[in-house]
Amino acid sequence: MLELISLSKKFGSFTAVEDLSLKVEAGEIYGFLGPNGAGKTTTIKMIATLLRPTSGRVMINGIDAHQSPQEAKKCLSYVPDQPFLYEKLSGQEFLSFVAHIYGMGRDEAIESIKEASEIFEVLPWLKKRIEDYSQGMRQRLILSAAFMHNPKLIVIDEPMVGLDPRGAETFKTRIRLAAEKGTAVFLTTHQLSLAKDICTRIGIIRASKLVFEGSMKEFCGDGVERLEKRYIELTA
Amino acid sequence: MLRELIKTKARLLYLEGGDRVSHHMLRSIFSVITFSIFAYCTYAVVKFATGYIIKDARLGLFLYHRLLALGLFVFFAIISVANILVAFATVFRNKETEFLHTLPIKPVQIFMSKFLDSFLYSSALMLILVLAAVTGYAGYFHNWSVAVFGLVFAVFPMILSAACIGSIILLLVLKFSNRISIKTAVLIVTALYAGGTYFYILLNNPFRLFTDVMKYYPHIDRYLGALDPKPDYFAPSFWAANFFYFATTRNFVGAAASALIVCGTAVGLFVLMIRLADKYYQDAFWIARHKLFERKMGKSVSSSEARGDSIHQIDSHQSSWTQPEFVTFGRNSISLLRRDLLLFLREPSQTFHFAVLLILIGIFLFNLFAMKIYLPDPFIVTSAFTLIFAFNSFLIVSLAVRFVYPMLSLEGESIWLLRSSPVDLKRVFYSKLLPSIIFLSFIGTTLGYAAPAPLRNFRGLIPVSIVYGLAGGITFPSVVMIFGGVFVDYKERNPVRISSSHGATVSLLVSVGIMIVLSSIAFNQTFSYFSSRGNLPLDLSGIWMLGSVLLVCVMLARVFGLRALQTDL
Repeated sequence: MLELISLSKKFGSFTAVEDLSLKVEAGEIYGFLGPNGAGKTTTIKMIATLLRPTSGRVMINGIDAHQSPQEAKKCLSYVPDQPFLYEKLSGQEFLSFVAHIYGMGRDEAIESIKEASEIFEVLPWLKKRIEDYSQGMRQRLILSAAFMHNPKLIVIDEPMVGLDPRGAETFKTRIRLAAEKGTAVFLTTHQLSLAKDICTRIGIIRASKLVFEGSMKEFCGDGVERLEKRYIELTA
Repeated sequence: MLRELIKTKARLLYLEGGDRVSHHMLRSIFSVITFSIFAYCTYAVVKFATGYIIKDARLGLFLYHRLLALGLFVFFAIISVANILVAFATVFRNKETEFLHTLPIKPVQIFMSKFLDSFLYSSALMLILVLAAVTGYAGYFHNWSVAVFGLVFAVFPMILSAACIGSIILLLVLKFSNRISIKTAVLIVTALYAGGTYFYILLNNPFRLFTDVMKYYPHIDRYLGALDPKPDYFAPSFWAANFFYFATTRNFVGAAASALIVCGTAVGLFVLMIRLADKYYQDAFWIARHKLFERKMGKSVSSSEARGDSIHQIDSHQSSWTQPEFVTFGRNSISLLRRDLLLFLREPSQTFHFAVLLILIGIFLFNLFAMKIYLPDPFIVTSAFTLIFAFNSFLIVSLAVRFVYPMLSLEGESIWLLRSSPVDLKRVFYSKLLPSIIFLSFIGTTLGYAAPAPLRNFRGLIPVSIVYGLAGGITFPSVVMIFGGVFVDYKERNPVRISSSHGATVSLLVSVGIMIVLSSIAFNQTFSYFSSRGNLPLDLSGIWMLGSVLLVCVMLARVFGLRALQTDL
């Protein structure tokens, strides 16, 4: 579903991502881990077509994301770490806007909004303006928008920002469910426990290069403690 | 999809406007009053000037409309440049644009929605000015249909053409900034604009045109198009002025043909812009983002690597600021000043505009010293001096609106840091106002020193002129700071958007109002001096008014500035 082929991004003489190749199959939850400044966000921004790679390609559902961005984005949902929301719109109006942008008809949009907002428990807030939302509520809304049109690929940068334990649990359940239905998930996080809980495979990037790729078991066996130790060793 | 985008944008405009009125009723009433006064003044000035030129100075309809064409050309160039700046902030460097690019929307549709956004965002004052000016024109000729048709078929398409040219240039600059550096591209565009405006004014020298037209006296109301320089035909502003000439002289075929040319040009440029956006916008967006990121991460890392700075060295650079010997004005003040200075220097849009304005001031100063005015009539000499004084003030106002107005809002979302720190907010406020006053006072006194230079026989005016300049340098940043406080917006991070916002427009209008009051004082005080050919001492009886205005402005700036810093977050 997602394939990065020898992806590189340079800013002047500084290399943010170097020769990165990886594949995320349908139904897989891929955790993209790494220390601050390693190149995670640059990679994600290239996948979301917000940055063009210096070399290499991003393939989404077999479509080159930088050759046919509009086609590629039809299959994609992107949740940035600091999402943009129209403060003056209500949650419902925002979701409705996104639904229509993804080409949903009126009835389909209403149904999807209802379903997604019920799952993420924002339904009681939908009539309120976004400017009145708490940080967690905003995150729930943006996650509802991301899941609403049943994307084939979800790319999430730091999904747990502002979520309370209940919201976090809902997110994990929903992500697993989406993966079971065949959606590929590519997420970055600094919470190793989250990666351990939900990721079927992880990649670790350090100083712009992928230094590990494999399953959680291959990385650390069992136990969060060992996971943390191994991660710190690898990214030091 | 475009329909959905525009529908959402229109709803946002309605909701934001409604909120602005309901949450800030007093502010909105004040804005409406300011806009109305300014619109009325524009109406009255245009009506008076039209009457003066046609009836009193007897320049005739043709020459009047050529002066109108000149004014419209300057207006055209300003809109075009302003649109380049606002479009860059809105179409390329904007959170919403980034969000829209993550959705499956055609890039050209994003471009169109954001183009309209930037066009409407920066046009509120412009539209009011134009409406009032055209009404003033129509009021003089008692021909209201000219106002309606002129606005729809001449002025509006001309404004649209200017905005389209701005956006086309911006698109091309960004697209080709991969081949030539962005600095070179910006320099080329600046040179093109400056050169174009200079040659247009050179070609359309009003004095030469006056001499040429007067050869046909008394038939000076006739259309003397043969006297027009041929390059004028390429300027939509020329055809817009022609529309007004033909409509006023009831030559409806000529008016229709002129309107057709203006509208056709606007449609053509709009289509060209959309075509180019369809082809280049996605690329230009990526390039703009690349440059942005390059500056954010690549440059800082590579430059410190290139310099071979170690962490210890960087630490030692930074800690030098906190050494006791540097802290002569108090630790907080130095840190605040240093932070504001660094933020200013590291924002290219700030430094670039600042450099452009300083260059313009430099050119103006050079011209003042090179100019020689020998006018026998004291009324005209006083008017010339007042005009120079008014222009000096306007330069200070422009600097203040562009750089002082956004200062409070630019605290942005990091205001929590100041609010939760043991720092005196008065100190924060003064760390913004005082440096602005010091700098603008310096500019004001320099301009004040240069203002009497063209009037060779009246050098005794220099001390008073310097005092006026100094007064402007203190008053205008204070006025602008008042409105920066009243309309503070901690959510907008972009200085260009802040300084072209609704509040900034109001602050500009109020500053211009004060500028007119100060210019009238200057006129009254210097008239008898010029009448006596510099033999009588200057009448300084009105100087107390200048001092009072200045004091009130500084005090109000303190009140509103502090209120903005203490506002609930």
